Amino acid sequence: MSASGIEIPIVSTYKDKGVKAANKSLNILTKSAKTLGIALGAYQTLKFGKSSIKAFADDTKAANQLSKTLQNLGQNYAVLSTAGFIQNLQNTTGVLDDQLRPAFTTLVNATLDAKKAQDLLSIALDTSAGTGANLQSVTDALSKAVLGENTALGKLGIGLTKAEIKTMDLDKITKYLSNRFQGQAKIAAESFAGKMDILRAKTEDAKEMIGKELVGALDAAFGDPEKYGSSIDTLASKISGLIKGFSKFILITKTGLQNPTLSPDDPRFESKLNLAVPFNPVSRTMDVKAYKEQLKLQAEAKKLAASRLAAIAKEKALVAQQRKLEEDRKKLEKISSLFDIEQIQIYAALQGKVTEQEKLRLSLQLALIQQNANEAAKLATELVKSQLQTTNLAEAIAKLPKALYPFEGWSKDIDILLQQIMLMMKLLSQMQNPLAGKPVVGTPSYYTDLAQTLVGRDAYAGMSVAEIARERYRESGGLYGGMETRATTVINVNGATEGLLSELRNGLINSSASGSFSSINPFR
Amino acid sequence: MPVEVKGIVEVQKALKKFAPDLYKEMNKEIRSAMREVVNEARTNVPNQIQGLSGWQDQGKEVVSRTAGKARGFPKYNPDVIRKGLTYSLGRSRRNNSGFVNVYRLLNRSAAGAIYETAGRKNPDGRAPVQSTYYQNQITQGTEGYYFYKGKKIARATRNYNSNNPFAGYHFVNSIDDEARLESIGRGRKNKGRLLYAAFAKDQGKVTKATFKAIDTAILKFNSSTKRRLGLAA
Repeated sequence: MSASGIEIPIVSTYKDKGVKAANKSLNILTKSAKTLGIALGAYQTLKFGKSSIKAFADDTKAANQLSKTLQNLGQNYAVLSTAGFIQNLQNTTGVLDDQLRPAFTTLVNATLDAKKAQDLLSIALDTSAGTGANLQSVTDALSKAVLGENTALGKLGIGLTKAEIKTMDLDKITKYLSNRFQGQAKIAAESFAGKMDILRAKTEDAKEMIGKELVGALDAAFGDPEKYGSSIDTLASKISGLIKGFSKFILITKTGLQNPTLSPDDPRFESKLNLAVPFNPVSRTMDVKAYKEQLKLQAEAKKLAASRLAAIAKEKALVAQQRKLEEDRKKLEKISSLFDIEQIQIYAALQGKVTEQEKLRLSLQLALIQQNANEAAKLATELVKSQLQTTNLAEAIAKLPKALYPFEGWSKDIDILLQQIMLMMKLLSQMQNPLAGKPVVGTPSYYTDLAQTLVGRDAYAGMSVAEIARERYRESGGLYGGMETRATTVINVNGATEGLLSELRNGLINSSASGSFSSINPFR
Repeated sequence: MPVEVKGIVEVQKALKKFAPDLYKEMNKEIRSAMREVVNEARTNVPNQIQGLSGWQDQGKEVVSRTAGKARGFPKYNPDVIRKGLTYSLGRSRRNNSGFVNVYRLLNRSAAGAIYETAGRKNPDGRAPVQSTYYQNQITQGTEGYYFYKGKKIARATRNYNSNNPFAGYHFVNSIDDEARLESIGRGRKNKGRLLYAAFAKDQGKVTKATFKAIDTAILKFNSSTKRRLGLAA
């Protein structure tokens, strides 16, 4: 019940003013916590920077001391090789160079020889790993052993009695230690702890390198290393400022990515960046013109997209229609081919009795008419094969012996027959005329009779009978009998027979050549 | 039952500022829907309640009988009650849960509120004893006595020092005889005899009409805005 009595709410709404305020407070708290985290991060960064510089300084100092020791001993040539040797040992055994350098210095001071010191250091590392004694103790003992004091070695627990140690010189001792503990350092390095040591050593190296770079940067920034102490504090504040700036940059980028539609100039964007200052909608004046322009552009873009989609759809429809038309055309072609006379004839021919080769040829022809390239190529190949096979057969047939010609020698027989006939005619004429065999002279001829009928005509005006007869004879070529002459006419029967024979032969040959069935058959 | 609508206040503000005509039209529609419920509630108010003649307003000033010059128990006046039954289209104050009622039906008068809710908590009036322990041992009798531990008792116990321990029982039962409590939702706080009964009888028509009016107004506002900006839908 409210103060004004009983009420039944029909429509109500949630007013989140208080909740927003609470959320805002919580966000501010979270932001503060984040800032604190950043500050802690900056502090850690600075701390690391300081320790890096210190590590680099210590490392440089130790390296310089060792170099100076070697130089003092006249072992200048060994400076570089020693540095590499120590670095290598550190990487393989995991023993830090901070330990290796003093150990090596001790040994080189005792032996006065860098090469020998390196050998002894290797043995010392193996011994240290084998006995569990620290490296410095072993190197101290070895350096004393170099000078002839073997007592310290006995305390390392290397398995030699005092009496034995006393009697042994350095060579024997090193030989013994090598045999006894060889490879121990390697085994130790390969263990998990050894690997962790190697990792630690490399981390330290990295730290020293970072320190080196930082010192370089400080040198460039401040010039005088003595100022590092005071300047580093200034640097710390600058680094923390840089980190803060970087965090702000991240915040802006994150807000921008989360609100891609908001411009950085938009007050809402600023309000999202700074939750302590809520967005005031009243402060923002709406640019109606720009809004209308934006809406217009959006509408245009939408329209363009729609028209593009419509065009694509139309094009697709056209392509589909074209495809359908092509299919229809092919169907029609297929159907119309049924009425193609040429094709019908080929089909009819294929129905009949044809050889395989003919069948192939017909099929090829059909495929060419139907423009079926694949089928045509296939059939052409088969046809070529078939023809080749046929050609081989033809060659084989050609090699067969020639068949006998049944009419061969007929002309000769006919000649002989004609000669016999002529001989018989001759004998018969001899029997009727005793002068047979001699030339006939003075017999009235056709031309004389003809001349007598023609004499006195206009065409032969002024010509005698003899002249007309001669003229007619000359014009006709003597086809109708001999010319009446006073000389004896000799008829060469044999010669006439030869002409007849040649005419007969020629006639037969011509008949054959003209394709007469009766004449061609014999040649087939 | 109230329905929460997000942004209704903003809609009202926008309509009031940019489309006052629409705002008025919307309010008119809502008002007419609510008036129907209110009228129905007003018809539920009896002129007098049988058995409670003493509660009837006689036109005399009511003075508290126990607290000096403090406001006394309101008398039953049907005209006052009917006048108090009304509606509001103005926003209420934000309640403890953070809600603001935008459109609401009201029963403003004190007597009306009593008539509306009497017996909602204790259907038989306040018990003669306050202690739960005793209450469990009491058997309800008829008016004028009750049974306590098997004994018929006509007076209140020490914990309830009243000369008329069954007044509440008599009051509630007399009102119940006039009208029963009608429910519009779960729980006793959704029960009543006037507005609640009318609202229950309305069966949500008023809510539906209100939403329809709001939706129509929003639709018209959007379309007119687009038209004004030259962006015809």
